[in-house]
Amino acid sequence: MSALRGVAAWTGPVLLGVVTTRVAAGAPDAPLLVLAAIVAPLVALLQPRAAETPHPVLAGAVVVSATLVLAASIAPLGDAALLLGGQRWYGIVLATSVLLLLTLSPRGHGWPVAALAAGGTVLVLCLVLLAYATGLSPWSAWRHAAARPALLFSAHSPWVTDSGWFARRTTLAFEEGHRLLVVVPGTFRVVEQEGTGHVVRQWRLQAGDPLSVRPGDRLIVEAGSRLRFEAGKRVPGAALSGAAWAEAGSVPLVASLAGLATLLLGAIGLVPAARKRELVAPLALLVLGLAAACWGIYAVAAVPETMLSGSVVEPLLRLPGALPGARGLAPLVALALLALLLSAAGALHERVTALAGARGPAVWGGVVVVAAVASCWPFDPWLLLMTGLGFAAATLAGPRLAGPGPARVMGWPVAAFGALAGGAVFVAIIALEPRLPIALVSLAQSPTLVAAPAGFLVVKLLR
Amino acid sequence: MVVLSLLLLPVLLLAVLPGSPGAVRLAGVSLAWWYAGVVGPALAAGVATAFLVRSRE
Repeated sequence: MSALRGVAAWTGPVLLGVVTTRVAAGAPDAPLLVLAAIVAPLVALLQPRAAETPHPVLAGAVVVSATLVLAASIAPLGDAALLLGGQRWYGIVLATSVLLLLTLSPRGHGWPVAALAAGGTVLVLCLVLLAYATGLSPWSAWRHAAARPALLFSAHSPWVTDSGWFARRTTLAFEEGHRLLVVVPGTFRVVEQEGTGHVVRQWRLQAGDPLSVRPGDRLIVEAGSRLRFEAGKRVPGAALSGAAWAEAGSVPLVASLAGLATLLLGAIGLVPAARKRELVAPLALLVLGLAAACWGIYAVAAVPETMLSGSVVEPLLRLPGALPGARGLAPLVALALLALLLSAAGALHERVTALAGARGPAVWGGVVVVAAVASCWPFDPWLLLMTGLGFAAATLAGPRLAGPGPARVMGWPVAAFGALAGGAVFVAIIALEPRLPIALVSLAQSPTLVAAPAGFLVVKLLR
Repeated sequence: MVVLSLLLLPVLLLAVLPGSPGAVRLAGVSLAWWYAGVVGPALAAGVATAFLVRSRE
């Protein structure tokens, strides 16, 4: 597999969408995520080249990781269909059909690279148009966003003029009173602070019903709800001001290390080593990673509420509509996301079929169907992606980093034992998390930090 | 691989250290963003490119 085809597994819509959304939200880990999203696949490209030993355990590890990563990548296309006025399943069915057609077609092997080039080029060109429409360079947009006295709903925001839709269950924290309007009937829970305790009030509201919240209240909104907000009010959950957005704040060390380990080792597990002079792949990663970060900066400068829905593609699709010179770009951006999904699927398909042998097409068909079904649920795509990368880190990267070698035990390659150990620890930590003592909870939320070393150590001990 | 991984260290330190040293502004943009958005990616891509040009068969 060429390096460019390999990195396509990394540059799917979910990672670009998460980078954009985290930057727009002013998340404390946003700078770290931007850099890690670029550096992790570069580290993977430089790993020692080693032929993968076909074995059912290793093939199973690739299949599980690929299914989770593919489900995370398909889900944003469902969100995109909803944001463009359709139904969620339109996007999922369209994306799944096209990628099944392309990956199971016996002819043509160059389409994943072509899809990556087309999707990436369209996104970058759209970003240039956004910069032209705002009249701001990315660093000027950053300064403009950082100078905003407050992040408020504008009178032209679709969350004010029409209604906003919530992709998944969300908790909104209000810093000031809001009078919301329910657009789609649903159940809403408000957590109010009374004295030193909290009171939860639940309402079943119909379309057109008002919903008032006070400063300090938290509103729990179910997936699929639609609400209309008031113009001129602070965006709930957003930074209090541009300065607060720019400052970002500090993040817990264990959580940061866990995120970094998952991204670095997950990339090593999924992205193959590059050959000499495959120089386009680093350039593509640099351009796409920085384009996603710049998109997030323009989003917070122009429409700070774009991260409200919980959908990772909302900043990508809503921002063009908010700028007079860029309206009409949203469908083009959705097509670019579809192209990036196809290129990611092409790279994953190659990994799965290389290890699955003669049953490759059937196994791949199963991967796509399971991923498509999983993406129909309102799972957080970022959680799915990190789980897939974490599993790849534990079962593929950990054993691989223990060093190459043909060593076998009981007829199995030692890497298979490492994958079994890493995978078992990873699954056990996730399954046992509710029963673990409080002291171990933070570690339990970072299973990669334990599971990948387990896979590594088993290979070292057996070799 | 090790050199590239070490490039993540400064931004990790800026993110976890108390007192938000990453929020210090240089030419209007915070230190964390200068490193994570400009210096770090450029260095990483440069190191990877140099390695791919010189070290691989």
